[in-house]
This record gives sequence, C-alpha cells and structure tokens, in this order.
Amino acid sequence: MIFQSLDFLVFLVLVVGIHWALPSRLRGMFLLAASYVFYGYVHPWFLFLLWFVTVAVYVCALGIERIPRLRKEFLWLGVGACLSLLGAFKYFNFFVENAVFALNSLGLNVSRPELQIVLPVGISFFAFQGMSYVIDVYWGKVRARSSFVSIALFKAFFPLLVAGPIERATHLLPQLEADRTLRIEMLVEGLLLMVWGFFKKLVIADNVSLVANKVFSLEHPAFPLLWAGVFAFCIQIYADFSAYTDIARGTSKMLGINVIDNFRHPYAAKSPTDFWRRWHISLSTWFRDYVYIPLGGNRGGRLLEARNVLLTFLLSGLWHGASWNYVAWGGYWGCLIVASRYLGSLLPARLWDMRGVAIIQVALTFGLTNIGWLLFRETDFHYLLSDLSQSPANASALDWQAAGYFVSLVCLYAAPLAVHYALDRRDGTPVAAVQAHGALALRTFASTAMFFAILVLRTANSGDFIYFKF
Amino acid sequence: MVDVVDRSIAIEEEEKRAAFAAGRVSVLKAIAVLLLILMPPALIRPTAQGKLRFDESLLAEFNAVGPDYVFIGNSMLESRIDERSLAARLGAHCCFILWTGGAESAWTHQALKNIALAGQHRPKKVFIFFRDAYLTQPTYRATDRYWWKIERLSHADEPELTRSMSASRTWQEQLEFRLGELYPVQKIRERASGTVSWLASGLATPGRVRYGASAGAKYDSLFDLDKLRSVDEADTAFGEEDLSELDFDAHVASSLLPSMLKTAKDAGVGLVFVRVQRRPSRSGPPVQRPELKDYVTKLAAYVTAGGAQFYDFNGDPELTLDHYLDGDHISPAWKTQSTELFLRRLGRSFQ
Repeated sequence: MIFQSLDFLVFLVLVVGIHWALPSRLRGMFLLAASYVFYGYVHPWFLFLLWFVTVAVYVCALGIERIPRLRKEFLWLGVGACLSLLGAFKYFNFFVENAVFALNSLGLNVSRPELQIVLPVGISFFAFQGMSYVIDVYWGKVRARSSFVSIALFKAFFPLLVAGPIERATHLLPQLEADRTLRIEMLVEGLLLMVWGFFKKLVIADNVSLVANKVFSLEHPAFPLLWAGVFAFCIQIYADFSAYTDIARGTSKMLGINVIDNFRHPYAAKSPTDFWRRWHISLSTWFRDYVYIPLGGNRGGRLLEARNVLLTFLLSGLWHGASWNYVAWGGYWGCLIVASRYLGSLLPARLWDMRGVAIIQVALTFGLTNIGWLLFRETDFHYLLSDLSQSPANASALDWQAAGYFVSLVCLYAAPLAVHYALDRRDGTPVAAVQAHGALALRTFASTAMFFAILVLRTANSGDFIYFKF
Repeated sequence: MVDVVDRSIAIEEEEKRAAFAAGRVSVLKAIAVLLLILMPPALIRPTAQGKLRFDESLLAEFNAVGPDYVFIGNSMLESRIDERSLAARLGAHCCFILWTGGAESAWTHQALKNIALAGQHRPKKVFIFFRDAYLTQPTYRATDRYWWKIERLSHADEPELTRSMSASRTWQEQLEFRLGELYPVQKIRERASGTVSWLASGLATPGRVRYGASAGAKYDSLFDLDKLRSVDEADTAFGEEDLSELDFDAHVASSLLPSMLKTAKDAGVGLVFVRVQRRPSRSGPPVQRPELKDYVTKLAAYVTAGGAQFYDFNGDPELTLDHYLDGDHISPAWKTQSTELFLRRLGRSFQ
C-alpha cells in the first residue's frame, strides 16, 4: 500500500480509530495485523520475507542472551540471515552480471542466466533494522525480547516498514511495548505533519519531477538543461524522501509513537560532513555506529580514518541500489569528506568566523551535492559519461532560456522549503515560540492552505516515492 | 482494610473515567482540526470555480474543416499517419481529433458523439485508432486531469458516459470521483498551473511575458521524440497484471463500445476500428497471450455485427521493429511509408 493512495487514507482512519478504541493489551497485536495488511496489500508473498527476518532476529537475539557460549555464532547467524535476503533479492543479478562480465573479459565465454527477481519494497530498510537489533543485543545495549509480538511489530510497524526512518530497538521497542494514552497533541501533531508531508510529495516533489524526468529523457541534454534537470532532481529527492518521513512520523504520532527525524535541512549544510549529519540521519548514523566505528572510526591516524570513511560510504552507496553509479556516488561522498576534513585542518580556524564565509560554504556544499545527485540519477554509465562531456559552449540560446525557465519553475515550487527552513532556524525568536507553543490555530490555517494547494497544484499522476526502490 | 481496597478501586475507576473523558475530548478536538483543514476548500461553489463545460471552440474548429474523413486517437495515430500526405493522396478533407498522451475509450466516445458526428458536415467515415483491449476499459485515463479533457467534450447530460463510468469504476475510483465532486477546483487548477508557468517564465525571461501564453510550450521542440532516449517500454502501460481486462464478454456491456456503434449507425456514418500493432520483438510480431487473441476475435466479431469495420495491423509483415521509435510509436522517419501502408491496407474503406 502506498501513502499517497485513497486506500491508505481509508486504512489509516480505520487503524487509528480501532487502535485507540481497543484495550491497551490488544493494541500491539492489532497494529501487527494492520502492518501485515499494509505490507502484503499488493504482493502478499512479500510477507514471507518479512517473517523470515523476524523469526531469524527473534531467535538469534534470544540465543545471544541465553546461550552465552554461542553468542558470536548467533550474532553472525542473525546478521547473515538479513544479509542473505539482501543478497538474494537485491544484489544477486548485480553480482552475477559483473561476474559474467569479468569472466568474459578473461576470454571465458559465459552466458548470463536470466533471473527475473522482483525487488520487495523496503527490503533494505527492514533488513538493516533487523541487523541493528541483533547487534545491539550482542553489545548489551538492549535486552532480547521474549515476546514474539513485540519483535514482530518492531520489524513490521507499517509507517516505517517501506522507507524508514530506520529506527533502533532502544528507541522504538519501549514505545511499542508501553501503555499509550490518547493525547490531543499527538493526534493533531501527527495530522499536521502528515499534511506537510503530503504537500511536499504531491505539490513539490511530483511537480519538479516533471522537469527532472523531462531533462533525463533526452539522449544528449545540453549543458544548461542538464544542470537544470539535476537541480530539479535535487529538490525532488529531498521533498520526496522527507515527505515520506514526515508522513511516517505523522502516522506514528497518531498512534502515540514518536519516531526520530530523518532530515535537518540538508541543503543548508556547510560541509560534506555536515550534509550527512542532516541527510537520511537514521541511515548515516546506522553506518556510523555499525560500520565506521567498528572499523576503527577516526582512530589510528589520518590514513586509516580515510580508509574507514571511504569503505563506509562505498557500502552506503551500494545499500542504495545494486548498480555501479550508486557505488560511485558513495565513493564520491567518501572522497569529499576525506578531502574536506584534510583541507579544513590546513586552513586557519578563525577563517570560519569571518562574515560571509558560511554562505560560501553552503553554496559550495550545495554545488557539490548536485554533482553527487547527477551520479545518483544517471544509472547508466554511458549516459553519465555523455552528460559529463557536455560543454556550455555547445548550448544554444534556446537551451539557456529553457534552463532558466525550468530553474525558475523549480524555485517557485521549492519556495515553501525555504520558508520552512527560515522559520525553523530562528530558534529563540517569536517565530519559534509561535511554532512551539499554542499556535494551533496558525498551524491549522497553514495546513488548510497546504491542503488547498494539494488540491490545486498536484500533478495528474503521483509517482512512487524514490526510496521505495531501495 | 476492605474500606482501603474499596477506596483504591474507586480512585482507579475515577482515573479511568477521567482518562476516557480526556481521550474523548482529544478525539473531538482532533476532528475539529481535521474539519477545519478539509472543509474550506469544499465551500468553493461549482458555479464559480467548478466543473469544466463543453468546449464549443472545438466544434467550431471542426465545422470550419468540414472533413470527409475523421481520425480519432492519440500518439499511436499521430506517429503513424501523416495528416497532410493522407489528405493529398485522398484528395479529400481529413480531420484528426488527437489527444497525445490520452484519448482512451471514454474520451474517444465523447469525441465521436459530440464532435465528429455533431458537426454541420457529416463525414463519410470515422476511423478510431486503439490498442489491444482499451476499447472496453472506459475508466482507463479517465480520472483527475484526464477527466477534465473528457468534461471538455461533454454536455451537461451524458447518460451513456455516466452509466458506463458508474458501472466500471472500482470503489477507489468511485471515491476519487466523489472527492473530485466535493472539491470542484478544476478551473482553479487550470489557472494555477498556468500562473506558476507564467511566473517562472517571467522570472527567467527579461521583459514582460503575456499572461495566458503557454510559457513552457516554446521549449517543446527541445524534447521532440527523435531527441529522446530510446526506451523500449515507453507508453506500453498495458501489462501482465491486467489479465482480467481481457475478458471481452464481461466488459463489453458496461463499456462505451455499444454506444459508439449505435451513435454512428444512427448518424449513418461508417465507423472503422483500427487496432495498431504494438512494439514487435526482434524475431517478429509482438507476442500475444491466448487471452488477448481470444479477446480480439470476439471484439472483431462484435464490431462487425454492429455494422462497423475492423482492421488489425497486428502481425503485418511490413511493420518490423526497425520502423519503431520508442514503445509502440512509429519512427518519424517512417511516417510517410506508414501512411502509405495504411492506405494500401484500408484503401477499400475510402471507396
């Protein structure tokens, strides 16, 4: 089931209503059943994969705690189960394709087996969430739960199941297990957050996607058109993904559960490192805690740190998709972070306090982020190389005009994101006070305006959320 | 002791009652907020901003041509037949009623009834281009903005269209349609997208930009079909999952096909249904599942029994993969030959 469908809205009304009407002890079981309906709505067989991960992490976590002499074996079994699922459904064709290519390059004539594997939605998200639970139990950060329903719900909780945020057991499990009471703030907060999420998806992301899709449908987009398209995609992916997070968080709030935020105005980042503190926070902290730090983090000198950063980002790129462009994208970010840390250490510290430097930093980081998005968007290397070889000198006047028009169009649709940022960053000002306290009438009014904008400005067909395919 | 227990039970019950009452107030407040969000847009009245009406200019344009032959379709027709060379070869007036990216069953029905057969000049023949099972899928491309295009070809009372849509919509489509009626904002939507486009054009281009001019349209030439990446599956929406749509007997009665046949028959105009060939494979014509073959056989028999002609381009030996651009579209380089092929195969229809 997808969020931007009438099916989901009907489902949500029923689930929220029934959830709060039920006695507290039955709510977990009901949410679990609802989550399975949500996930199996289109392809019921996907549920078997979810059950496989659920059973694996449940058994392995208990094994780690109850049979200490085999705790390492259980850890690897749990992690292996999650990875095997990813390997089979997400990476199998990729590895086979590359193995066949390598063998053929060596002169061995090998034909590629044609396997039509459907990628189950959200597999990367629930597999990673499963791994984090087993590892956290191993590290003693969380106790293994003996209640199967608790773990099953933790794995299947429908708002987060398909595209995160990737919640940790330490934060989500206690909330799922607690007696929740119905509170007006949570219901209204959730509702308003959902309206904001739907606005970002249906008005901003879907409209600017028309520009991005148009440009990337060209065989050889001229230089200005190409970068107008990349800029459109840059806005699209942020509006799209953060919209999913907001709808997920809003839905969770309506069920009395607080979910972590996944974005903190990433395009206001001042450096590549800062960008990853603001973008897809639940994934970047996952990689930080379970890959980067276990590899050694920033201990052991600059060279080892660089290696750890690069490895972490290459894996993060591969997590996004079984394609070399995602690996290149991860590698690109790894290199940027290593380079920016090194350059940062060479420059005098007082430079960062100088007036105007922050704006240059933000602009530079935004430009570098856009280059990264080109690597991310072009899944075919043939087209990527063609894009990168475009020269501004070869563009016609019409190309420049069209690019100007598309950039203006994207800026108009993206304006509410800038307003949101401006309101959010004024901590301690009357604006923040209005936002934080009372102000229900104001936010209700803003939501009415956003709902009206959804009715008026949405596109004919809403595309899937981009992160569904990961 | 008993007294203490009783009192603690009483306190517990009191707390439960208070929590329940607070919960009820919470729900009522949340419903109030929800209504404040959802209601205002519904107060915009249809008379001011509502439903789109029949576009008289389309009929006037049609009357100005006064065509002998009318062709209705979408990009399948546009990419296959060159209007000018066809008119020159026939020595007759031809009129294409086109909707690229749309033009499925419901729109085709309205175009036939309210334009092609409603003009001052009665055409000799009307050709309808379609793919596979679309003629019996009235709800396909008939929601939201697609529906506006249909409204533009509809009068206030359209009993056949209403009947067919009501009978064919799923509960989700029915709900979406009712919500569309609850929020009649079509005109505002049309104006809003035009305004955003105009503003963007004004920001990008120095000097004044006239409102109403289709701001983005002047860049369309940058995105001509021959400049696009070749995507084999482009615009081939009809997929494997639509097997149930291939049950001709189950869908024909609720579709608009009977009405198309009857309207043309009543008007005394010949109707020709032309099934285009979808993208062939490298080794030959497109592979058709048995259900589709069965569907097409039944469709041909039904249409012929209704007094119309049926022609199927599927399997034509001259239509090979080399002549295709992307998806089911014919390459612009082969459009003239495609027009000639059409005349060779359906020449008798023009006599």
